[in-house]
Amino acid sequence: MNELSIVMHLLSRRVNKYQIGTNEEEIWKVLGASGKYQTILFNQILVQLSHYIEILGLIIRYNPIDNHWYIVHESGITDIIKANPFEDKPRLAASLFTVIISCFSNFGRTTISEITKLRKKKSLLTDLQELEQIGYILVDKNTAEITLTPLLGYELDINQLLTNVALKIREEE
Amino acid sequence: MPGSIILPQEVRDQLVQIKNDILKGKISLLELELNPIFQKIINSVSTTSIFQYSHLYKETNDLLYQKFEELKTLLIRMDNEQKYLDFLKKTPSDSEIAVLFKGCWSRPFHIGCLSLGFLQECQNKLSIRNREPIKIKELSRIESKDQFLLEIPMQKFTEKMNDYFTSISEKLPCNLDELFDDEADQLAVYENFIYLLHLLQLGQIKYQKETKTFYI
Repeated sequence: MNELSIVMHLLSRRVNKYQIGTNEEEIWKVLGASGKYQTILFNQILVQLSHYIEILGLIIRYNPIDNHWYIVHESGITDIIKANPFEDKPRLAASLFTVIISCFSNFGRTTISEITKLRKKKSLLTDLQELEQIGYILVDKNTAEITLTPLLGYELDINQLLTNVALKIREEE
Repeated sequence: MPGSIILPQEVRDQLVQIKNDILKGKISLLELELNPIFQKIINSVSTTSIFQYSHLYKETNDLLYQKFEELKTLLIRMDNEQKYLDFLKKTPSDSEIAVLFKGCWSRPFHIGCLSLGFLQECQNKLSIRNREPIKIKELSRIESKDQFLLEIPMQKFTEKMNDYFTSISEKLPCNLDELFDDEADQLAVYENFIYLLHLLQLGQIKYQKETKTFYI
């Protein structure tokens, strides 16, 4: 066992339904690293490991929702294994998009009424239930508040999505 | 820098230093001037060092690409969040929104017991499987005065099989009993039977199932 095998294990494990991988603090703790060079050591290990796993078609990524580092299949493989969960469900994709944008504009939270207002569609609850079942959102039944789960950050590149929206807006302008 | 000679290693060291500084958070890619590095490559490249410089050029280009990516992200962040909401208020169609997700999905890789040891074991197993196939070589005969328990036959298998074929060809067509009637030695019967099977497989002798007859 060396540092790389420990980090590989930490990055490739499923913590719970919504979480994969590990955060920087846990890696430091497991490796027993401390002091002013711990960030350099952390970066070096991640860079080294990324070189090792590159040949297997794997990439190390960062999830901004829960600050976890984890591993994904490279884009070519993702296309082959069809990672898009909404392949034939544009309605569900549109509902999720509305939740993301609404959360983005409201400090990470939104409400069912807000989504209904933005979507202008009836029977939106079915969509929200389905999204909750997949594990992308959490709906508080008492307050009707919606939050995004970390799982979404693992499976969806939110940064890329916002880039696509920005490009679309510019195109329309 | 006209007049001074720049070695590829100098440029490489500079690139390594830049990458380390970025990782340590000392510098931001957005603040980094890449033009001097490109200029160094242009000034010092020659026909003899072109292969070394092609790698350096690629590495510098990678930095430039990352810089563009960071700039793109920054521009997006600078945009007012209200623009995204305004986009939604225009009520775009579901399919129009679904297209925006293109290229954004990824499949996380998670496996409970994966470690570097496991990967190395896989690699070993793979290299065993990829070994060259076994080659069958004829035994070479050498003169020796030593006595061996295992004797090498005087003839090769093919030669013995062909001799057997010649010896029975006059009898054919006939059935199995007729082929072995004259042979009392059981070991010789087994040996000849093996030759017969090989001759059948090679198609030199044929067998008719209905009449139980061997023929050429």
